Amino acid sequence: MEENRENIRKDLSKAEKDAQFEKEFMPLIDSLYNFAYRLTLDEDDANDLVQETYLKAYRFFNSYEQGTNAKAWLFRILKNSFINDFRKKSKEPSKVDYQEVESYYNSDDVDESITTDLRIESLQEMIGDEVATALNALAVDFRTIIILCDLEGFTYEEMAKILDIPIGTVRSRLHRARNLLKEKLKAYAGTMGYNK
Amino acid sequence: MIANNLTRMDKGNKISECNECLHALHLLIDGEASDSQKEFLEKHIEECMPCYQSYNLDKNVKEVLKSKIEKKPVPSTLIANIKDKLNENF
Ligand SMILES: [Zn+2]
Repeated sequence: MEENRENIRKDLSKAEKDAQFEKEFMPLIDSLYNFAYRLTLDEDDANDLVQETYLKAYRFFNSYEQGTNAKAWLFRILKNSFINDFRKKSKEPSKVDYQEVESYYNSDDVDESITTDLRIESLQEMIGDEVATALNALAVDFRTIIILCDLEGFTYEEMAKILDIPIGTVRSRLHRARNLLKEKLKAYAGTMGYNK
Repeated sequence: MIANNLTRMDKGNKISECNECLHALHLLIDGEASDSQKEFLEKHIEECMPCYQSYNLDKNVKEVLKSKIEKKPVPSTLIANIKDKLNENF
């Protein structure tokens, strides 16, 4: 059993390849579909994006190292498909200026706005749809990092690979995204009368 | 409040500790802190009320996201469509 995996895989019959593809990748469809939906905010687009992801995954199956992180690999393909094919046609708000984001966290000052007065009680009174609305209101790059970290539970290292950014950028983007999310949640709690 | 007394006693130190804490709190919440970071952060939030409140709020936001946002069910046709497409193309 000490044979090189790479060699074994190249000799796979189509049936064996299909069986492995099915076993390793299909159980992840639930997470992928939800990720696609949270990115596109459209059921049909999410559907297309997931299909495309699986087709690409099949095409590049040989470059996937079995037993490694299948979920991170598929998420990366999906994210790249989204950027290349979907984002162009979607009506996203103007792109985020990362220069500004990065310099924001290179400063040593504690930003006063970090201590939003969002109350935990208000947060806990909110229903899922309201929380989702606040999340959906974020620019897609900020939304993405929160989905990956908080909904899907990826590590910083995995997120760095999925997003093709350094870990330091993962951290600063996540930090910024959470502050923005708290502002959205607070605004929402305010209009709903939760924050009284 | 204890935190206020501390601030008056050693304002400079306190502020830089709080800065360090607020920049690194996410590591603790996300389970990414090293042992020494964890030790520093846990000790600091135990003693510093504003930082503890930040920690507690961020931790709650994370939990609320995870527990309240509903999963969309995968459309029943999606898996079959993917398999059809794979058969057509490969
Ligand atoms: Zn502090």
